[in-house]
Amino acid sequence: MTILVTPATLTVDNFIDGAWVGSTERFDVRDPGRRDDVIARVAVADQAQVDRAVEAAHKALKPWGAISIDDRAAAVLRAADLIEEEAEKGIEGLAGVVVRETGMLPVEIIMELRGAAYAARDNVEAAKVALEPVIVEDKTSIVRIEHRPIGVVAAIVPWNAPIVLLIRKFAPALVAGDTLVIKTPPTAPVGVAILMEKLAGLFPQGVINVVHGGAETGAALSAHPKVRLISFTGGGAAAKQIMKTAADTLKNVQFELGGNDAAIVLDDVDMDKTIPTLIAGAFHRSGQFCFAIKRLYVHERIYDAFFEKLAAQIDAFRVGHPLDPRTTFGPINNPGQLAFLKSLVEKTRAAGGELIELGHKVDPESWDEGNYMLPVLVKKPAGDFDIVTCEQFGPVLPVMSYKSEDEVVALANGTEYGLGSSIWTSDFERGVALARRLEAGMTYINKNAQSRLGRRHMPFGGIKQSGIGTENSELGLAEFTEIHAMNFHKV
Amino acid sequence: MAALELDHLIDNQDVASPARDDLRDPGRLDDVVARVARGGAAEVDAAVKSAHRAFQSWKKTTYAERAELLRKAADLLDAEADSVVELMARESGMLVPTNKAEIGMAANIVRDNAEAAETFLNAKQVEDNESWVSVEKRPIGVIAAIIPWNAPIILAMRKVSPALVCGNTIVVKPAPTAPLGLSILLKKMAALFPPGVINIVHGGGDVGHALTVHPLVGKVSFTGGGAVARMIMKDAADGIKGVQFELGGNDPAILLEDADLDDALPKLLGGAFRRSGQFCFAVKRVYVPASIYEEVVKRIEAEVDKFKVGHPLTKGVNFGPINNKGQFDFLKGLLERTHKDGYTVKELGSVVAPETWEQGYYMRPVVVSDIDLEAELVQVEQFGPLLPVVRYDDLDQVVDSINDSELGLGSSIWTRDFDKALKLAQRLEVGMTFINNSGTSRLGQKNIPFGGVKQSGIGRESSPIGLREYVEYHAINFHK
Repeated sequence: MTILVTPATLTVDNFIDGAWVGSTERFDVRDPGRRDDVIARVAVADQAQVDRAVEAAHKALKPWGAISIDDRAAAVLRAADLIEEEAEKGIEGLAGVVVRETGMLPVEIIMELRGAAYAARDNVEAAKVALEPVIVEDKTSIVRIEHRPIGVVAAIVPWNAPIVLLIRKFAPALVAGDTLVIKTPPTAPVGVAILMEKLAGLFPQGVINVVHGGAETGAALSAHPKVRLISFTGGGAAAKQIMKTAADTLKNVQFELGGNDAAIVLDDVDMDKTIPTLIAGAFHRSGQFCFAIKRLYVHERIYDAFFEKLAAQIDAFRVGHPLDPRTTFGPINNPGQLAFLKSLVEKTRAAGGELIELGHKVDPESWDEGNYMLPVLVKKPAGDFDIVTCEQFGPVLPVMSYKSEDEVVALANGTEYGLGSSIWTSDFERGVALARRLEAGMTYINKNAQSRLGRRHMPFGGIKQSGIGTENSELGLAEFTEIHAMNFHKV
Repeated sequence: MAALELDHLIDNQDVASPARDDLRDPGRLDDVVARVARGGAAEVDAAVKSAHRAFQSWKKTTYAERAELLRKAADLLDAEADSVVELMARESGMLVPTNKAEIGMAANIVRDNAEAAETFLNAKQVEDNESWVSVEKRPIGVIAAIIPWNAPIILAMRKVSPALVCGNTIVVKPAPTAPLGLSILLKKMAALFPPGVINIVHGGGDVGHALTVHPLVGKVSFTGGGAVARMIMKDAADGIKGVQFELGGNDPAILLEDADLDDALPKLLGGAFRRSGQFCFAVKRVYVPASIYEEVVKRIEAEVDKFKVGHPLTKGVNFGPINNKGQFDFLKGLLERTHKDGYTVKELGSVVAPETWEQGYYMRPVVVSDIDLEAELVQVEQFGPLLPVVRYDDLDQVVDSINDSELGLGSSIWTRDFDKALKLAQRLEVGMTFINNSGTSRLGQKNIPFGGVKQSGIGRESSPIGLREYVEYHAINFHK
């Protein structure tokens, strides 16, 4: 067994108006790979602290909004550089603690930090276009349309990729002139808090505030009349509550929620090229990301060969603690999610599903000390199985076969969700034509991720119950602004 | 005149309901203008299903086909205007020329949205050595449009035309106190489109609720008051539906010392008293520099005193009644409290037919001067013909007071100096600022995203930015 040195437990406070603020109530953050390790004791923000954070952010609006867009952009770009510097430090830097609290692999978190730096830069690029006033004129009048800060933004962040998902809100909000109150995820608050305190020095006092806690802290933030936009990434049930609370003060909401993303493998694919890329699209982060492949549809003509190769490659995963160098597949972030996944597996088994458990345990004797599970493939489950109809958010992948494109389009679209989707084909035209028939906010072809160009230009988000509004690109940037139209009448 | 029977429109068929509500003339309460079918959950379900069926083929039509139909619809509005302007006067209390102008503007809104969609709906495509990205726009599906009584044709067309041109279908709920003119025109328009593209269900809050929670409705677009908007948003939350709201405002008009009063005052007062003050971006409070305050108040009072209040179909009347009892009672109460507070209250204008005054929701236009920044009439949205005129010495104090409000729809600035106006406008927390007029120019109608900030709304209407409310994005990323 590899000996992991347990560092001392950190004390993490709320960060309000430029200072750490403690609290009488605290919660433990535990290593999902070794639950006895308490990584941090984190202060819960009560109503009064949430109020103070919002007031600080509100007070900071004027000085921050008075700074030119170029200077705001420069500050966000410096933040991007600092995040990238952290990424270069590897697990000696910020990534170390984020690995320990999320359970994600070092390589995944280092990639996440680099992705966050790009997200910041891309949003600055988008802002240069999106924030430019539009001016039109004729003989009788001039119209000038300006994008103004929306005000205090509540950014509510999930545990699965907290840094990059926060930076998708942080960067557009700040470059647009908004200020932030960030609510961290209870099972991964530490990296966000440490990074934000570090970046706060680049901005006027009160521009960035961080509060910790659960649903009550979120509700206090969502109800505060001085918050004008709630930008939330997470689950649908929480989103409904947030929107109901937001309704009382008619706030704007922007939600990026779950998906049940279908991957459609056409019969013309190059299997050897496709399978490793597709596996990353499903099992990266042990399947815990919003646009992970959640349902896999393989053409019946190639199904058996495809399934066999897929299973063989997934079987190579070594499941264990992310800081163990032998590990290629980390644990589930929290016991609630693990229990949900296990119950899905049990239901599938009970319903007569064919389950194939794959991969290997790195350290069998300490297996039960963490939230571990082996990756699972479900062979040809019926369409009404829970594992097909609901979002699993973990390493259990149903693999169905289909006969025709019409059939698979109907299956892919037969869900309340509509976040991502992917198509795997060697034919560009065929791929794009099929993509256009899918009800989803995003369709990736031949890799379940954004390309460099995609990160800059794609509005990231879902349709139907997968979200409201979008993030990234000029369109996402607009969510963080208000429009002020001026109409000059020539006398 | 015999009362008309007004039915729902579902799948291009007139559909009645067992119960009907009387629609009364607010200027002559004994006059039942129409008996309106009272819808419920069953009619809503039928209408939404009709719209959803129609959506399956409507979404496959081309932009050019949809735009062509909308241009025909715009021409139809112009052609049919005269047939409804008097009926509209009898249901809403608005003047005939106001209704005529409203329909003309509504036709332009339809044309503008059809035109703006041409480039808007194009996919944005970028490509480099490793990938190709296409950001495409798709219709959402069935849109629920909930319309207020105060300018129903314009406010409905701001929703119907962008929704349809983007490939959505729609269920319209007209306001219970002004459903008639809108429904007559919409039914004629609907006949131009495949059945089910445009549907109408009449009724009150329960119909709005049933529409909002219907699982096949993809988005709710509402113009009206904040209290209803909050309920709609809570209902929409259960389905994680997007909402677009255009709500109330407490729009300030700020006069600067260098304003050209001869030009400004008639326009400003039009902006305050048109529709007897019943429109969302009406001037709701006027701020006047102390140096010209006495003169401005005198001129405003003289101008307002020229209004002749009465039934909109009575000859000589240029100022109609309040649309409904709730609004009328609210205004009366506000007027009484303003009197009690000791401000200078002038009830102006003349009464055209005193003997019928009590038969409608009539009130004379009121100008209140020597009034504090903090007075109720200055701080709340009156939505009627009570105009506070506030004296100021310190413009910064005025700006702070305006911004210290939960509302932020429109505003206006009156000055000869464009640069000064721009700098002042940029300090106001509002969605729109009109300079030297109290509304949009023709260029503004096309280009201004209409709507408010803070609790005055969510999202925008009109212009390419307004069209965003009626599409979903589908981003396709091909990896080479």
